[in-house]
Amino acid sequence: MEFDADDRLVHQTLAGDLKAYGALVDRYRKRVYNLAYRMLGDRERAEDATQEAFIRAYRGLRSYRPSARFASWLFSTTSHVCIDHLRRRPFAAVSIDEPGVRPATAEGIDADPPAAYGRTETQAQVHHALGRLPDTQRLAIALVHLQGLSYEDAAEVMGCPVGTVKSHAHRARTTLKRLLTPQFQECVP
Amino acid sequence: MTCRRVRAELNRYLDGDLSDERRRGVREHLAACVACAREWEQLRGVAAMLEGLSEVEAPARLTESVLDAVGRERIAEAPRQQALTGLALAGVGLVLSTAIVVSLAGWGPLDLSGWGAWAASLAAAGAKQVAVAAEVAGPVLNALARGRSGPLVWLLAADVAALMAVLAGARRLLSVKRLRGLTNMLAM
Repeated sequence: MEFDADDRLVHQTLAGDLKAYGALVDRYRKRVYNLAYRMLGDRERAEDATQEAFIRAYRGLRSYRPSARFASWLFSTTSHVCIDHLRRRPFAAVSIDEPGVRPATAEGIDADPPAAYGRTETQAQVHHALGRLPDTQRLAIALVHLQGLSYEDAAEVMGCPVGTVKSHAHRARTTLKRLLTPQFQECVP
Repeated sequence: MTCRRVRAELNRYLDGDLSDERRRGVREHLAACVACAREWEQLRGVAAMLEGLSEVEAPARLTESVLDAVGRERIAEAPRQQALTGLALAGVGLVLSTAIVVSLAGWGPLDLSGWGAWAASLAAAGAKQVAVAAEVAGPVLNALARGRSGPLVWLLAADVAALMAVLAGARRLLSVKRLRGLTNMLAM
């Protein structure tokens, strides 16, 4: 249903309805921004990349085929934009005090400040650790674990075989395990 | 299964990618090996931490800024589209009127092999548009002034107008560098 709605909005945009494109941007703004944020490391760059991704997508909208899913097509454009940004400047380490790393709660303010700080610290550590991964591994993790895509959809976004995406994700998780749990235990036979 | 083998399979175990037999083997090993069970818990913990990462809020102004940028592109694109359409129409007019003039003037069948060079010279003339226009339009205006306004002259005048439109359109659409490239290509 969502994909039909996307295709209808794409069709309307191609017919010259700019409001339809605004609806598409509204629909995917948060997901694209989060993908860019985890890929690039800070909110300012994520905002630039998100804007660039939507502008590039608009320019290339005629090349979009409804047989592909709009979300995959848009994420693919976003990942290309992020890789271009990373070529110019690598992942930027984010401060723990940056608002983006604070967990959101329903009330907006966490009822248990020490616990919230602990969660925030953990989130910042994970975010930092993501920044130490190679770009392709970070992209695989961002698509599968953060965007919730299947390996098949992630492969479509990354333009590579499913096995390659799995390999990137497995290596990334192994690296993250090492980075986040430094006390590596020897196996007892 | 050995510890090495089990650890190599843990990621696929996490993804639910193993066959029933292998999955059972890993499960039994994890139940018996404390160190591998710890490895497994750490890996599960990493996956849980990743999935527990909070989403960040996207700035609301993003939609507006994207639409502003896209709107500017559309405005910039419109004159280019008009110029392209005008250029195409003028080009068609130029070809047709030239063919009629050539046939009416009795200059014989067209030598198509020479059209590449003709087109090259036409493109090269873009930079000297004004001079070319004056040179070509002069005799036509003289003929009109002398009252020799036969169909040939009018067609010549239409031809000149079409030529001017093509050159103006080409100059608008193509940079000097691209025009030179086109000239070289046609001259080959």
